[in-house]
Amino acid sequence: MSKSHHRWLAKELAAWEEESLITEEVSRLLQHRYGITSRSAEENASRTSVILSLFGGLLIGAGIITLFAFNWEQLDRGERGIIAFLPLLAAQALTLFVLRTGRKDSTAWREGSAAFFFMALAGSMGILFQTYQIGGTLRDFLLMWSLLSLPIVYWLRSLFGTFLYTITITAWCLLTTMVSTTLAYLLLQGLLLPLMLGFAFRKTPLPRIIKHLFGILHGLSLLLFLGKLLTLQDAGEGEWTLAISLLSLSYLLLAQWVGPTAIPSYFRPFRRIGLAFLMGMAFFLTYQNSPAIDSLSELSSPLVLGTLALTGLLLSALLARQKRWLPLLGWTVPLLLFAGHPILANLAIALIGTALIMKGSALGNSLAVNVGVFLLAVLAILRFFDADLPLLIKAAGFIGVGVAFLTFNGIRARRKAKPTFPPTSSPAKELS
Amino acid sequence: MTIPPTKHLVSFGFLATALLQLAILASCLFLWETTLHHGQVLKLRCAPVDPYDAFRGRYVSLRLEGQEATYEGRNTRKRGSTVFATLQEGEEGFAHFAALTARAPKEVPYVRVQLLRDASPQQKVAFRVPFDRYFLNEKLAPEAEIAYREANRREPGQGRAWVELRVRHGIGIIESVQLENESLEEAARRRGGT
Repeated sequence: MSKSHHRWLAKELAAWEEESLITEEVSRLLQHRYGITSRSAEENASRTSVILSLFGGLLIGAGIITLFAFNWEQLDRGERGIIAFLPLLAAQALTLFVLRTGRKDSTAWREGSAAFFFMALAGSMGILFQTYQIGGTLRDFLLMWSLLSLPIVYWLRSLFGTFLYTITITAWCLLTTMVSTTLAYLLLQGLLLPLMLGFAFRKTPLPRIIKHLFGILHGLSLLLFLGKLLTLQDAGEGEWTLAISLLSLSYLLLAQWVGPTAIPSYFRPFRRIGLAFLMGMAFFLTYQNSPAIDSLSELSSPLVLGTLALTGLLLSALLARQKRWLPLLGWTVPLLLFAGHPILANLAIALIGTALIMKGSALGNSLAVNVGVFLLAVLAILRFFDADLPLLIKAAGFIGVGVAFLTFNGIRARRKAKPTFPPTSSPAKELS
Repeated sequence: MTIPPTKHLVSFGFLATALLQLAILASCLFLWETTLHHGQVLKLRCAPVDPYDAFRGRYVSLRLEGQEATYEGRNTRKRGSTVFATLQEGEEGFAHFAALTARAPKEVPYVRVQLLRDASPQQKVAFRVPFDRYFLNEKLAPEAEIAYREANRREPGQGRAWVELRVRHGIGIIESVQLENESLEEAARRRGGT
């Protein structure tokens, strides 16, 4: 079996596992049978080298900071001012060395240098601030630190650099006290976008674990930003609607980028969180005209709207690239919701529920079928509550939906119990 | 051996980035250095401190007297906004914060400060000054903190500690912290700090 076949099968196995067509155990056995290893020894060594470089860079940088934080009072102000530039100059020299030599292709060199640069810059700034007794706020320090480090993240195309940058601007955002300043978080995050797109669409995909960490970090960062923004705004339901939609789309985008994976489900929360948010929103909007429409002028931020639109477009692009037409159709639901009429929200939920049942039945995916049925059942129950009908009729309706739900599950369980193909020899037996 | 043009491009591009980074930090240094050389010297009394909140790490946390003034701008300003606090010299050569303005005043010394709550016109409002820390050698700092705290355990207006501040174009930089007739460092050394 050629390497390309191996790659194809590994990808397919991950997708089948993702769609619950096979279990993790079966996937592992098939990988073993065809000699597919998830990581080669070489990859492992390279990964260790990257981790060691990262820690090396961070520790040396931290050492420099500590050394200068001692506050050498025997040196005068001018001397300390000049010394302050040394860590930065050293980090710049190292970066130039990495860029000018073949080392820019080495992840270990790139990531290690980026880590060192971040720490060295903080050291330089710290010495300068200390020398001139500049108290200021941590917020100002973080902003200056992140913005001055950003060009290096781009030069080195450092993934760890994007992590540090995101952590820094998130901390900065949490320390802001004004809505207008907090919204600048989107602008700061936007500065990273070209690089992130580069990562998302590059020829050699990033390792899944890195994608997950990347996703978790950005998801959390966005969540913290929204929490801060809404707290400062004394948010009403309109702002929450908009915010949750934005969050949901972002989570879905991340989930789509991360893609099918062999990593256990507890480590890939985005798709489910995103879908849960969207469904919650959808049910909320079946009651009234979308408050998001009214609140757009209140938030009045082209940044928020721009991010919303951009996230949606990115998600569409990713889905189209992966030729996943059904999800592509599915994510347009938020647009239906934003159109503002409760009928559209009802329609959207009904469509999603039906699509899930149909696709789940075709693939034998019980989870999808159950979620679909659950959505339809909840929708039916909610509408029964709303409807101006006598209590007896409502009661009959509830019982009817319940019985339908149970009957459907019973039929499915019986079908599942029937063997549809002759049993083959156990994979475990074959392996032994 | 010829160097490929892309390599030149990388070098030039990176050098431009590096120079920009250095220039930004150097401009901060220049601004602070010129303030210390050419700024107006003002003395500001320190306020009594809560002994448990005075020291954080290797610096002494400073609190100045009268960190609130009347906001004289025309429009309401939100908490966290930057405004300008004018300084006026008073009795015994000590300065105090006279007023808050939305625009930088031309005739009087002033510093940029941050509002601690929303400010309406003619309302007295508290603010935060950017010079609230005095960094010290880690061995001196504990003694300095005790000396500073003891010097400030008096009624407001009677405190014996003050900061000497250099002010220029809205930037204020602490030149020294004084406790009666000696600097904070001298007081700390006298108490046993090395």
